[in-house]
This record gives sequence, C-alpha cells and structure tokens, in this order.
Amino acid sequence: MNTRVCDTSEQNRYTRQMMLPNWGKTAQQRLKDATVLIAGAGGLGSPNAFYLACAGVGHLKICDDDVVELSNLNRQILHTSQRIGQNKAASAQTTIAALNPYVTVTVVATQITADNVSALLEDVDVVVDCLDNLQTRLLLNRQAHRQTIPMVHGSIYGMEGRVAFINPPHTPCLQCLAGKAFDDGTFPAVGAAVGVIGSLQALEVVKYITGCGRNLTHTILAWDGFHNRFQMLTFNTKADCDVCGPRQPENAK
Amino acid sequence: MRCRVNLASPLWKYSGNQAEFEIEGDTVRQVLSRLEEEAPGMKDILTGPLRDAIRIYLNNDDIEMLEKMDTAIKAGDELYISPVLTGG
Repeated sequence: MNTRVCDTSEQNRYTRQMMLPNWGKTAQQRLKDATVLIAGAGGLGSPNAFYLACAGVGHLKICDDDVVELSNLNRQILHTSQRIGQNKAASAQTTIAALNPYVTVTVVATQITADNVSALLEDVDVVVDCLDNLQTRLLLNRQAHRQTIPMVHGSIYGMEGRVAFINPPHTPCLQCLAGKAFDDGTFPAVGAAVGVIGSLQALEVVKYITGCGRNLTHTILAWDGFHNRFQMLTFNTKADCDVCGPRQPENAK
Repeated sequence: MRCRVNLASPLWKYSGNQAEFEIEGDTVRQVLSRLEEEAPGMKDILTGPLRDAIRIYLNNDDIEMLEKMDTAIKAGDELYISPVLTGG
C-alpha cells in the first residue's frame, strides 16, 4: 500500500470529488493505492492519463513504443510541439509530473507483444485499452482475461466511438465482439471526439476503483458525434468465444 | 413494415455517403436485401467478405441473440449496422 492521503495539499486537490456520497477518504485512498495500465499514449490515452492523474490514481503504467509526430497533435493532448520525436510514454510522464506530483508514472516504451503482455499486466488493477489496432487489442484482452484483470475498452473513428467495461470472468470480452478487423488502416480522428471517449473510459476506471456508480458491463456505449446520439447496445458472451466462452475448458464452472 | 436503417460512419463510403435509409421489409434479411439494392456498394459489407467485421442491431439488440436474419421487423423499428471500431 502507498502512503496515506494525509498531506493537506494532496487532500485539498481532491476536495470536490471527495464531496460525493460514498467517496470520502476511503475511496480516495483506493485510488492512491491503485495501479492502472494505460495501453497506448495517443488520442484515447491522453484524456485517460490526464483524468486518472487528476483523480489521484497512485500509479500509472503508460505503455507506447511510438514517438510524437506533428500529425498527432490535433488530438493527443499529452504531447507538445516541442516533444516531436520523443517517445510518447516518456512525453506523457513529463506532462503528468507537472499536473500531479503525487502520481507515479512508469514509462513502458515498448510494443505490446505475446512475450511481454503478461509481465505488463502484473500488479495492475485495471487496464485501459487505448490502442489503435484490433490485433493488439485482442492480445491484451486475452491476457487480461487470463489474469482476471478488468479492461476498459475504448475506440473511435472520426466523430464517433465506443466504450465497454470488460470484467473477466463475469462479462463478455472483446473477442466476443470482434470477428475480424474492418479497417485497421489510418483512421480519421477529431480531438474532441477522442476526448469524449477517453473521458468516459477514465470515468469507468474511477468508478470501478472507488466503488461509486455502476460500470458499463454487458453493454457497449456507442456515441455518434455526427448526430449527437448515445446508444446502449447489447453485448453478449459468444458461446464459441475462444477467450471467455463457456465451452473453453478453463472457463468451465 | 417500414424500418429505419442507420449506418456507423466507417460504412458511409460504401453507401454513397448516406447515413440513414428508410426501407420496407418484414424481416432483417428483406430489409438488408433492399438496402443492398438501394446502395450496391454495401454488398461487401452485408453479404461479402466484410460481413464478419460488422454487427447488426435491432433496436439496440444484437440480432445474433434474436432470430438473426429471420428476425421480424415491426413498424418503427431501427436497424443499426456497425463495424467494431479499432482507432484510438
């Protein structure tokens, strides 16, 4: 366990959220004791890192092997023009250190692979899926299921996006949803749109850790920013899912 | 029965940039078949190689949990077609 949230200036920082019913010092301490893996420090990773650090999550593991490019800066608000060429996870660490010195950031400047995904998830309480391709998302999903770590899925295209809370073994997983990739090429992205989806993901993480509110389980929240529409789509376990399906021996009750 | 069909934005390039359709049909299969007639570019999505990459929802319920393509359509129903988004 980390130190107590007893420092006056640290507590003052969180006053407005600690006013919420069932939050107080207990929930704030849960946030401080938590480790969250942010997989991807790009469009979705940016609002997640900001809001999780603001909320007082004690330890953020931020994973991205990519470097900051000029064309990222319309949406990836963790980074700046001065940091073009720098690793994104390292750039995120600089930003978060300036925002909240009580948060520890671990930089993981490597690609997520089958060889390192298990170690990456070690000691992680929740993982936030902020990746930009289906293959790595499914790899992370599979391992999070094996290690029974909740994963908050988020994805975007232009001015629309999706959010779902995957809580193994109680909910369907990403593999249940994704038959195959529709289009993993360069996708359009508006900064404010990744802000909407990334913020919703961060709120799911905060709700899970604090125990305040209800998570988006068995549901995909689909947001259409073009037409200002939120839909709650059903999200069911696929009987033949090779990750979480009931026919898998390791999932047998 | 008249049904509204909404397409997620990644599909618009296949539908002639049209996001919404009003289509008559008694089942999901009939509606989608008429959608394909109205927007031939949707063929790859609805019956072609990209079919496994999309999900179809009737009034927000995944048709895979209903009667699939044989699910009956009532007046005022809404079909929503979307791929799994992967951008981040």
